[in-house]
Amino acid sequence: MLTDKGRISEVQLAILLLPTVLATSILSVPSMTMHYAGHDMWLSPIWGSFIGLIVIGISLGIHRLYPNKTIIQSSLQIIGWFPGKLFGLAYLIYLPHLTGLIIREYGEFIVTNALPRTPLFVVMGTMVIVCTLNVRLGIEVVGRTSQIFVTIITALLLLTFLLLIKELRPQELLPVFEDGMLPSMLGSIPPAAWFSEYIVIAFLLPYVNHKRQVGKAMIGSLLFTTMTMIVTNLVCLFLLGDLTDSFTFPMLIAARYITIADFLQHIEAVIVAVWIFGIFVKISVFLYIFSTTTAEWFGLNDYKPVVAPLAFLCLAYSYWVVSSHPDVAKLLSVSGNLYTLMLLFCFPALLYVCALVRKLWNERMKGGAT
Amino acid sequence: MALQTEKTQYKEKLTSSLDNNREVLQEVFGENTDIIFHRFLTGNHLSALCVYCSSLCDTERLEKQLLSPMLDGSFAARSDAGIESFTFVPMSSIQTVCTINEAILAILNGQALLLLEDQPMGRAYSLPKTASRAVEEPSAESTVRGPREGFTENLSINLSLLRKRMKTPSLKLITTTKGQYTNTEIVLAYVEGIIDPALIKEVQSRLRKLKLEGVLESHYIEKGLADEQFSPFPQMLATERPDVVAANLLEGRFALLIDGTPFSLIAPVSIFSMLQSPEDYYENKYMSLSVRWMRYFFAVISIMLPSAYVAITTFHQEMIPTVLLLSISRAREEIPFPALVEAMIMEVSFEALREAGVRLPKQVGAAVSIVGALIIGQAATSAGIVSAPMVIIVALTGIASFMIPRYAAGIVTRLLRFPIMILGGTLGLVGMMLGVIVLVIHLSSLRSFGTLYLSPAAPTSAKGLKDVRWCRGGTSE
Repeated sequence: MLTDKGRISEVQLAILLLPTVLATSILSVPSMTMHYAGHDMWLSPIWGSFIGLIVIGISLGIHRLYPNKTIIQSSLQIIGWFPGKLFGLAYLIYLPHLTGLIIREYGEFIVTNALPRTPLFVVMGTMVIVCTLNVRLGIEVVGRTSQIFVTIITALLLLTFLLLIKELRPQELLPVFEDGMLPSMLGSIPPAAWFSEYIVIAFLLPYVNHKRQVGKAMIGSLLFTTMTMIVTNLVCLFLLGDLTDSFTFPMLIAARYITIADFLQHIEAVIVAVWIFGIFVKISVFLYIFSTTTAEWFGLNDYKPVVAPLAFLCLAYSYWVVSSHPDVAKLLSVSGNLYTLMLLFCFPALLYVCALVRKLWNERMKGGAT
Repeated sequence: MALQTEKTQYKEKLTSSLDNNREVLQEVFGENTDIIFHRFLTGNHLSALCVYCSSLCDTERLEKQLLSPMLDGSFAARSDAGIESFTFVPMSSIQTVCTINEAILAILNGQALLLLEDQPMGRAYSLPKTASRAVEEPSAESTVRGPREGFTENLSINLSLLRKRMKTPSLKLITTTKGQYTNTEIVLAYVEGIIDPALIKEVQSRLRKLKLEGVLESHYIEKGLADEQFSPFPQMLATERPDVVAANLLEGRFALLIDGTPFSLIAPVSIFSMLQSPEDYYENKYMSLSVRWMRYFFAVISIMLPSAYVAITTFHQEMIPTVLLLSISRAREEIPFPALVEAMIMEVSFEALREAGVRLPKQVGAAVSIVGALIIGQAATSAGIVSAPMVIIVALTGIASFMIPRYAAGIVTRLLRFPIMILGGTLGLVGMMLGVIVLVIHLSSLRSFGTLYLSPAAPTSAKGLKDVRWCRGGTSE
């Protein structure tokens, strides 16, 4: 039994996932990857995308075995009522962490780059209110708003890359594989953490109305995000060279290079403003998942009443997860990624293995009986 | 409720006793001086009663076409008695009336009701004499190229304007009455075979549920039928052009023509139909394409420009090129207000000017524009109350909002400008973007008769978007 009656198309889901993965990764992944991978950082998203591929496979696999159920609902059937509830509880505890962290990241990003004298609480609070409005209107509206905003973001991103072309120095790419493949593999941990966010599919698949095409659409979405990450990393590398990892938000520094006809300069404020759209979609998606998960876990019929309180909880978590700005970067770069990978990749993978074992077991029992 | 009680009260049939019928009708109309009860003997010595409303009936035609043939001696020669008598009246618009309620409505619609002795039914002859305007050029939606006829307040003229354009039996015109006191006729028009039958069922059920005291303008109906009551956006398109109605009927929409107003309603609509002008289809393709894109651009300008100016001058001065920044800061040097207050003053006074311009008699209108231009444009800048760049911004915004072809949609941009301006003045570009997000959320959840307001942009349909980006091909489709 689903807590939302709305349905979205598979293309809408694919589009929805683009900002969900890219919104924050474009900002902070280049410098994190650079830290480990050096010149080969453009390769890291490719390794990272394998995690995305596996996660998509897991989500689709679980959904095939237990159709029209979210991962929280199917876990009760896969590993039994009590362990299933524990599994759900893990997400109930983890999701506000993640959502709070995204909100905090947004707040810090805006406060450092656009509104240095505005209180953090106002910046984050207004965004949370807007996201609450969006989530309360259901998955259909979340899907549609994301379609509108992804169009705008894509156009803007393309424009940024195009305007930067004359500043790029491709020779920064060399030498390739200076220390072998290992650094680029290590550098793939941050992108992998972001790619593991593709697990939101497992929560959203029951709301998709043409399930046959879902696989194709998801792969398309994954290719798009991987390409975008590679291009972003390349642009940062070509533009800033070895300096990339000394900035928290290298893309923003890159945007400062843009001048149009010696007249329009410093358009990074526009980039920041438009980037809000992306983060808005991302927070909405995670708030939606958090709300539906909570409603499902407590067995409610409708998720709408819990949205506003949970949104407020996430806002509170955004203060609790980290205490200051440097902490955000630290959390994101080391422990955060492993924490994310643990819950968004390992747990679902274990659940899928259990589901497969259970299926085999059932078949064998049936086989033995006959 | 009144109409319902009337209905239950006068549900009984007309009786065959003429005196009885007269008594009942006289009781209903009471002391109304404009309801005439004319009792006479026909040429063949039948006693007859003609009831009509003298303020609505053309008495000259009544005498010539109804009374004189009946009183005529030849009438007697041609018919013996009874029901046959009705058929010798030289008129085509005849309606048979069986109940008291029907009789009342017929009389109030300006028909002359003829009752005969021993007949439990009457005949209503249409002899209208209502004041109506001639067909004129629509004043709220003018085009350079295209038909210049506009709807009038008279429903039958409007229907003829529509029928004239669509000579097909598939065009269905279905009449209902709404308003318990006004009893206004409403015609639902659609083209069978093009429109989705489920949509027609939906409209009819909504119309049936609608209970109104009076219908004086199309908005009374629009308000009652709207999906979302609290939205500032118009969910039906009001137009006074028959060619716009015809074009929309051909695209599978329905129209409601309402007696007493030149505006008819079209639904379902999307936000893009608010930004399309009929002329887009009458002009050269490339011309209308560029004009349409310019209109989209200026629609955004009309909502965003003042807030963008306020946000950028207050929070993001680094975005302004140095030379421009210098001239803006020189202009703003003497201004005692922050940019937000300055913008508010200007926008509010501009709105006041515009409202005054609409309400004032035409003869005084020119004076208002001169005073407005002088005071706001010239004196306010030289007195140092507002800066010159702000005047440019407000003027540009004003022009942009006039570019929106649908008046109802234009008003919305006027209204939305203010909250976004406040957001831009308090949170800079971030606030503006939050305003835009809220707007998009609202538009994504809005529906007009089940059709999404943002369609075909979200959910995306490539075929639909073609008409949004380009224009439909003229003759080929």
